[in-house]
Amino acid sequence: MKKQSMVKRVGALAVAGGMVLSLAGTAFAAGTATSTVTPGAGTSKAGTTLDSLKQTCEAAIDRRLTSLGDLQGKVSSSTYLTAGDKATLLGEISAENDGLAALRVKIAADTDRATLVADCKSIVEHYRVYLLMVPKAHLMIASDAASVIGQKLTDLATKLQADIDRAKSAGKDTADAQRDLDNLKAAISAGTGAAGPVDGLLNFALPLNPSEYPADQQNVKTARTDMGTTHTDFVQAGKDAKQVVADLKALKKPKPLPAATS
Amino acid sequence: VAPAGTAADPAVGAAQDPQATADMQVADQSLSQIETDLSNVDQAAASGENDVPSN
Repeated sequence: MKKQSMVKRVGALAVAGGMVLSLAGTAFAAGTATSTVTPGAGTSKAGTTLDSLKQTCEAAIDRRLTSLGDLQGKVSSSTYLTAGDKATLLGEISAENDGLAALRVKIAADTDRATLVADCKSIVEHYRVYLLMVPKAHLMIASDAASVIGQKLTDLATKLQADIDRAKSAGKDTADAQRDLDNLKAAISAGTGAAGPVDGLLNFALPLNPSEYPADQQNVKTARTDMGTTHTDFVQAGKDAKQVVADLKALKKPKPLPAATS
Repeated sequence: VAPAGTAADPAVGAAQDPQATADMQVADQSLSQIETDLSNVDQAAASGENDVPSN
């Protein structure tokens, strides 16, 4: 990634989120954080290796800062997230951004390999941008979207039930419509039920204590599975709703007369 | 007052109710949002954290 682009992204993240990124701003604006390999007289092989490692680690941080900037934009613009969920996510994204930016400054100043390696490991162990932060944000958006779907489909099922009841009162054969509506209600219930535990599974804080990672990762995997089930159930619910509408429309058509017998 | 006979006509209910249609559209849009988010989760997991040296 181009450094100028990185500065813009970090800056945009800070401005858009109304957050103070003093460490990141200092590091990028000063142009001192990116290590360069400068072979030449007096440069040892060990020093070159150290510089090379620094560059790899700095690139890894830059990649994450870019991803966090993108994520911040998606969270900010989401129309599904509740205000509380949005505030939680933006706070965590900001904390991860600030922490990684500070770590980048530290890595640039590291002078011994052991410290540098430990700092590089910290990029993953304390932040888990790709295995926890990004999945958590998207799963929270999906969970809040599932709440919207559940409510809309429930409203629709109520209307369809009223239609069926009216048709039945008028002497229509509503067996097919009622069967398909029951399927719709069951699919709504299944989808809503599958999404139910997701918010609790994602109720972990970031940046994290490394010892918490195995449990947090398992919770993310479970939440992903649950949301996949929710999606499948709601897709089926949508099909069921369309089928009920088709059933009701079919009731409007006059039934064919039985064949005449002689 | 609806003309006699139309109150029991199911086709004049949810099937032609603008609000019901809107509910269905919102549900469809929200389903697309979930699909996008699940795709992003899977992409992040596939991306992994293996770009950082461990020793």
